[in-house]
Amino acid sequence: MSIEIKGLTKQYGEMTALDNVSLEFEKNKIYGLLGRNGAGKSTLLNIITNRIFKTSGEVLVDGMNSQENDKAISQIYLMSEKTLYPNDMKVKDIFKWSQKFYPDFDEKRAYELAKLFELDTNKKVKQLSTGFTSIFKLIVALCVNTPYVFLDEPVLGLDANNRELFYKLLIEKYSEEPFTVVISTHLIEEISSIIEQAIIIDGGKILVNSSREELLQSGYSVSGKSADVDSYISGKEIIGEDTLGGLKTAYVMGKPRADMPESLEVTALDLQKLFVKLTNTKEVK
Amino acid sequence: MRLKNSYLYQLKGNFKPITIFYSILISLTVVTSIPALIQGDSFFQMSGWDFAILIFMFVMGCASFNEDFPMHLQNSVSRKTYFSAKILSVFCVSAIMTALYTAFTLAVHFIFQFLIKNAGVVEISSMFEQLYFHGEGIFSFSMYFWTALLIFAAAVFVNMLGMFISGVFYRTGKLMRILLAAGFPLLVIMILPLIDYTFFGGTLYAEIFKFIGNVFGIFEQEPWKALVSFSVLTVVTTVAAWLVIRKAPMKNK
Repeated sequence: MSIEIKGLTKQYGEMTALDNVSLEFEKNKIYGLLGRNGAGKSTLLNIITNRIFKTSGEVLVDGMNSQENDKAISQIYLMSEKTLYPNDMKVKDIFKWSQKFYPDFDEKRAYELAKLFELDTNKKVKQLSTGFTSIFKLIVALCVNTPYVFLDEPVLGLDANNRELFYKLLIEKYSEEPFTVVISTHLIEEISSIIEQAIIIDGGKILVNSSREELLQSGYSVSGKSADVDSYISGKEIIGEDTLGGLKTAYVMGKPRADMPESLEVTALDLQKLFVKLTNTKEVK
Repeated sequence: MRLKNSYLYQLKGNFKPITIFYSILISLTVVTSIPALIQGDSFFQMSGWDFAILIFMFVMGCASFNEDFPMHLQNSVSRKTYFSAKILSVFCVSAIMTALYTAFTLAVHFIFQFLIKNAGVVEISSMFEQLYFHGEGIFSFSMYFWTALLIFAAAVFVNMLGMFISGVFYRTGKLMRILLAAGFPLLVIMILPLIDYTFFGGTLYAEIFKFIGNVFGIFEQEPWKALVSFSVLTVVTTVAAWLVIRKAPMKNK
């Protein structure tokens, strides 16, 4: 059971938003769908959930075609950046209707979370700040109990405390009862410790689709005195450098040499550095 | 299950506006009936409430789409389920509006004819009564029956028309929306009459009115023709609305 995407293409006139994308979201896994602004992340999620139409290709949810198929799309909840709930609707009414449309929606838990986030459920959508708008949508996403939950830029406008609380609640819920979570974001650092699988999308194409471990093992960072680091990295594929006074950190692709000089320290690669390197190819050239 | 919930959602969305509409109707009737309560020989006739119902239904048809459609996309409801539920709710709301109107007019007649002694006459007459039944008595069953049927059929049609127009506006760009909003009334109210007057000596519009009068049975006083015409118009508008909505995407702005 999974979501299979086969040769998905979406064109807006001359512009190709998704170019022959094929991938699979397996059951009970946390995915990071990473990409720069306009990379095609939201387009992909919107096609899977039947909000927009593909130009060609196929999306199968547990083997069912997702286009205009209530049974297939009801398996997925997409918390989108854009608010689709009516502006005049109160948060408590949104909880009520979520329970009707998604029978497994846990309304009691939703009120508990609203209390935790200090969200006034008597407020209308139009009365909420950007942060609280994200919060009420996150609460629905955390209580909807569908097998697949897509979160498109979930922490938009949230302060540090609420972001931390959300990630904690997400991990708690996932630990209690695993489900498939796809977090679409360009804030790599925040989710790098949560995700199991990273999908990097750029210009409508999938650049990387591998486990976080595999991805992080594809390189390393080396730190030390600038002269020592420069000498070591000479002739190697470098994806970035940070210099502070006489100290330097270089991000290197490949495996570290066995005869690493003692003056240098080797640590694991930074996912964000790797992302920037992979999605910045045009500038590098 | 999703059809039922979508239907209930769309139906409940109408309850508050219906309550407001009938609160206004009752309040205005009470206020305007005061002279009849004081002066036994006064006669007061109110008309146009059925026309107000049709305007209300049209506005509801226009307004509901922009909020209901995104809400259904958010809750993983397909367009076909949303549209099917919409049709069901339109029929139901039209029936409710018609039943309330009929009950209201009967109640007003009953109150002023029988309940309050020495009161004046307060009459509520509808546009359809004036078109098809101006020779009938006040308590003609066939008049009430046909008036209710025609209000219902027209209400269904104008609501679907509102949805169709809203769908067209949703799917077209800003420039096209302006062209449609300003261009269509301009064409019908100014340009065509001018062309008609200049080149056809007014016969074009005369023929159009004659055609409308015939298909709606106004000249022959045959309300069944209007019922058939409204039904045909409803089918055409519903099909057109579905063609517009079936591929409507979520809008980002």
